[in-house]
Amino acid sequence: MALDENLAAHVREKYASYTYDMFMMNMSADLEEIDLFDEWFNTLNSKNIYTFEAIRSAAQKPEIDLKRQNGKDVHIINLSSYNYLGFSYHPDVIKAAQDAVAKYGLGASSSPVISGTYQIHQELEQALEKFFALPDRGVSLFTAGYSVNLGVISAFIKPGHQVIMDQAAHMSIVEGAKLSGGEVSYFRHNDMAHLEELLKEKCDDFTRVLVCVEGLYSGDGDFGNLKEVVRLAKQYGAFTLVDEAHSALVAGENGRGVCEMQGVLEDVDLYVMTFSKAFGGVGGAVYAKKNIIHYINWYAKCRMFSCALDPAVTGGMVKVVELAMQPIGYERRKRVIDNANYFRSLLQGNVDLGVSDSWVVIVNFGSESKTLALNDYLQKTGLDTSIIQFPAVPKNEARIRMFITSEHTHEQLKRAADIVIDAAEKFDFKLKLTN
Amino acid sequence: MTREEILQVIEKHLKKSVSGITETIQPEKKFTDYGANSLDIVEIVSGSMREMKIKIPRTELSEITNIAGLIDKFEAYSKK
Repeated sequence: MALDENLAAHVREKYASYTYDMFMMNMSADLEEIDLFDEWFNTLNSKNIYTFEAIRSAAQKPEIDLKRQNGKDVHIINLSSYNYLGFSYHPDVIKAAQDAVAKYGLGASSSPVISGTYQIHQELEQALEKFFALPDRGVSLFTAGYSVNLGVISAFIKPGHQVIMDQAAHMSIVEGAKLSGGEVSYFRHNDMAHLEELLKEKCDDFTRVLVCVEGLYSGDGDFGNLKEVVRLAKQYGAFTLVDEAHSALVAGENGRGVCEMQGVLEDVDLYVMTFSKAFGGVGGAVYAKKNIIHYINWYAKCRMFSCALDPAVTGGMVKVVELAMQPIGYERRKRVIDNANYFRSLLQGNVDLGVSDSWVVIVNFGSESKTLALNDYLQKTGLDTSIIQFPAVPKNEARIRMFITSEHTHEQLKRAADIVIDAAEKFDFKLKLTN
Repeated sequence: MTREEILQVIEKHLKKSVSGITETIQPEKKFTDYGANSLDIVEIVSGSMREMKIKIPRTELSEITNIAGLIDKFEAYSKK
């Protein structure tokens, strides 16, 4: 059935106010929400303001060319990619991936539990065990960071159990918890008193309780209060899952994440990492006690029923872990933090940086209705960011999110900051001086 | 359908989307008061529509502020 013309006209006219959830609403057997979304997509492309899915023709370096979906070219400073340490295009990493693909072929061609575990997978597991350096711990590899949370939570938690998570937790944690069939509760972001209230209510001797938090919250750019989370969880007999997607390899002196930074690595039950961020690849892993790893290997269904991680990426990741332990790892970790502090100092006082305190720099601009025009302006003036709005963050709390890497120069960061400040003026989110 | 019957359908979908609700649903409250986020609300509203086979125009959904407001809309469109 064709989309009602009045509704189509409404979308064309109000395109800027449409949010993600509105295209999820299906009311009957017809494909209304799909046709409506298509109307929105085509409207944006025809107005040349569809900034998403822009095509890259080379690696995620600090300054690159993009081609929009409608074919228009833009040249940008790249603050939209979370290639924090620039490892995705490091020559040694590329070489290691090439060597692995030459030796093992393109795909693993089987589930890791059945016959898809190669020597290169074992090498990566051992490299990570050495990197984190705790006794009696193991690693379970997954083909996506998203799948780690989905698989691990749903393997560990069963109906009747409890999951308590930070309200700002990633969608993969939310979906993993829902999939598990356990009861799910949320505490206000980083609010330890609220967490304790929930622990008091949910914990007893019979029920397994898992507290899920993140090392670095990518929607806010702030760190989790892991020290306190771990203390409370222990006090009430709950288990902890810490997702270090944006912080593994970067945070902590040795790159072991915010857990290392706050001295709780040993106390965390399930340490989740993603290979798509600082590792510069794709996939992910969970690091935990060996008995838990053996169980997860079998009972994380999205792992058991998926093909193993591809050999090329796995080979590249082995090299990345090696580099992260060498002087280059220490240098790049220091540089990404210095760069982020420098960039924030340029923006400070001009825009609302929220609570961001890391290499994920956030600038709040409020209403989603500005998103399309703002992102279009930023891209055309030479800056690509990872703009986020609902449902990644609450409604009317839309933000420009910028990933700072060790490879950006101060000159590039200065140009980027100038563009953001100009945009703030133009789109009315520049901080006003008060005295 | 009566308001009571509509509320029962909405309550069923609310409890399906948000775990741990034991109390009786108060229509004057918002879905968020029961811990539903915006994506849950989409599921609750569209699931209720499909179950009752009543379609509320998309453009009117933004006018709804609480559960009673949703019941009003369902009641109005069930009679059309």
